Amino acid sequence: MEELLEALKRVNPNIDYAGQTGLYTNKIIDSIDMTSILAELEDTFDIEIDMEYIVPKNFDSVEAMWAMVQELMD
Amino acid sequence: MTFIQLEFVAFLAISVALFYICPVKHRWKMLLAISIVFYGIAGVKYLPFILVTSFSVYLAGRKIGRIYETLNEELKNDTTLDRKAKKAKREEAKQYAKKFLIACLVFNLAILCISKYTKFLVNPINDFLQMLGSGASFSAAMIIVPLGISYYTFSTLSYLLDVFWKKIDYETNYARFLLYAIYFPHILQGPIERYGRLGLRLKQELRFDYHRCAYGLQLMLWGYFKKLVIADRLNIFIQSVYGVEQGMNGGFVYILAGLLDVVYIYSDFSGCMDIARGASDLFGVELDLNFNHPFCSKSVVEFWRRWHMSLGSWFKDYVYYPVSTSKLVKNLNKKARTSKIPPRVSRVLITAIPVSITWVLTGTWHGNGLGYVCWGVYYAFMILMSVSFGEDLTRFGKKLHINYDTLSWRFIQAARTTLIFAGGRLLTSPGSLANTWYICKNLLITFNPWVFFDGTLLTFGLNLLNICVAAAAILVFFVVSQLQMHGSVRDMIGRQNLVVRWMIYFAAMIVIAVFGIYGPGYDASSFVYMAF
Repeated sequence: MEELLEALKRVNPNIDYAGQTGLYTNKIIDSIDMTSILAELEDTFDIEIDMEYIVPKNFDSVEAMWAMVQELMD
Repeated sequence: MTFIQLEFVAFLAISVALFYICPVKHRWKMLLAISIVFYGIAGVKYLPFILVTSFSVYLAGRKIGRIYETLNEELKNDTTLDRKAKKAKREEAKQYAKKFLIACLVFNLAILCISKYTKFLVNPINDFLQMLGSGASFSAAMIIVPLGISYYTFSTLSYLLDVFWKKIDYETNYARFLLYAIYFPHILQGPIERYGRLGLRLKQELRFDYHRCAYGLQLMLWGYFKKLVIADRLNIFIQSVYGVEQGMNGGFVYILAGLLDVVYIYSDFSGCMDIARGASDLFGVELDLNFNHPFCSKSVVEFWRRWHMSLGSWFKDYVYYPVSTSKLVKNLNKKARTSKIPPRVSRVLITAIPVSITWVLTGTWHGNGLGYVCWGVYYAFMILMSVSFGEDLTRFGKKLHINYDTLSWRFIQAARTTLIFAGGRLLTSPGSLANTWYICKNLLITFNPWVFFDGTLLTFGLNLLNICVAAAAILVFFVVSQLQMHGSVRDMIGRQNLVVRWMIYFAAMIVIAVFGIYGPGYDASSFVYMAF
């Protein structure tokens, strides 16, 4: 989880990710950030994030992102 | 039949009556019949196009859905499969489904492109045929552009992609799917609805709701006010300014026309959306919001989240993200990130390809010709500038002790957004890039503020009374928009007593009837976004 937070901070340090809900739905993360987040997560965890995973429920909180990363790492 | 013809009002009234006479469980069928009749009135020759598109997408969606169903059953029943084997099976199924997806996408996008863009190739094709010595020739009139083709093609393809990406379940009933594609309030100008929302709303029991109907009628009135009193009035002035022979205007006339063009397109398009959403409310079906006070946006990125929202989110979900996650872009990203390029530059590079492709395609969707490609490049450039230097500007502002939370700063940001939008409109509104160049040149080199006082402005199709009406109507539009940002104006009206409420309704109807533009030269079919 720490690794994930660090990766997210590298993308946009101005966003307070921890404890936030609705990161994607409420446009706290915009589409430009999303491109960098996808690249950062793929690099950091050596995973491939396909289009079917780009849905609000996977990016609305750090916990949701972590669950998605774990699923893709399995 | 457009929203602003009396025939539409009569059609709507009859449709609503028939709809509510029908038993609840059959109302969706009635809505389908009404929508087909509406589309047929626009032109029976258009019907085969929408039927072919909807049926091909429906079949492809069903096939893809069934491939996934079979896969899931296999994975469930075969307990001997390990993780790797399961992954291979999934990939195999996905590749098989992809064949149907691509075939359907190519087929329907080809129909869209041929319908929308071929007429601009008529002259080159005829020249080529002549060169070959052939006597055959084509004319633009031979090409059929089905009503709302961009809207229903985008809506249906979004369904197909969502099924392929397993975001929604596939539809098993073609009639239900056809209703989603042809549903008449949104067929003319959108919004581009997603099956995951509109499709499901149309499946619910559509019962009469007095408040929804009353709100729908109010929204329609507001839409008619914006379209007929503001947009069509301003359009006379703008067309006259841009249509006058070069050399007759300059400076402040063009500045005023450029700014009024922003008000015009906003009131025209959002007015139409209000009519569409209001009409849909009468049937108990909510359509997505397409405008959310775009001109109060702090940046151009935010603006496109608030303006023509359904188109913006369509391009984001079905062009921007697929390009961002494509193998080519991913590899380029990897190279940029592992090289010695500074992270900030690599962030811009990561964004540049999907942003550029998305915006050039968005421009092409809006129209043909180089002007629309330039329009797309213009917005791609603006967004990339914002990505590159946005943080620097914020830091610089903080060093200057600028308080970003003040009303004055928000006004500056809104004014900046408006000017950027006006700049974009200037690339397409004057009709050609040559005209755009001429206007931009004159805008900068001619200083003629006296046009505001010497009567020059009265020579562009609007007399003093009409200018005053336009100014008053724009003020009402602005005030109501401000009120809307703080709460529902319809709720506010709903809380008034019966007399006040009906006074407001009658006043609105009288204003629309008296001050709406119905005069000579008026073209009832010219809703700007109907051309798509």
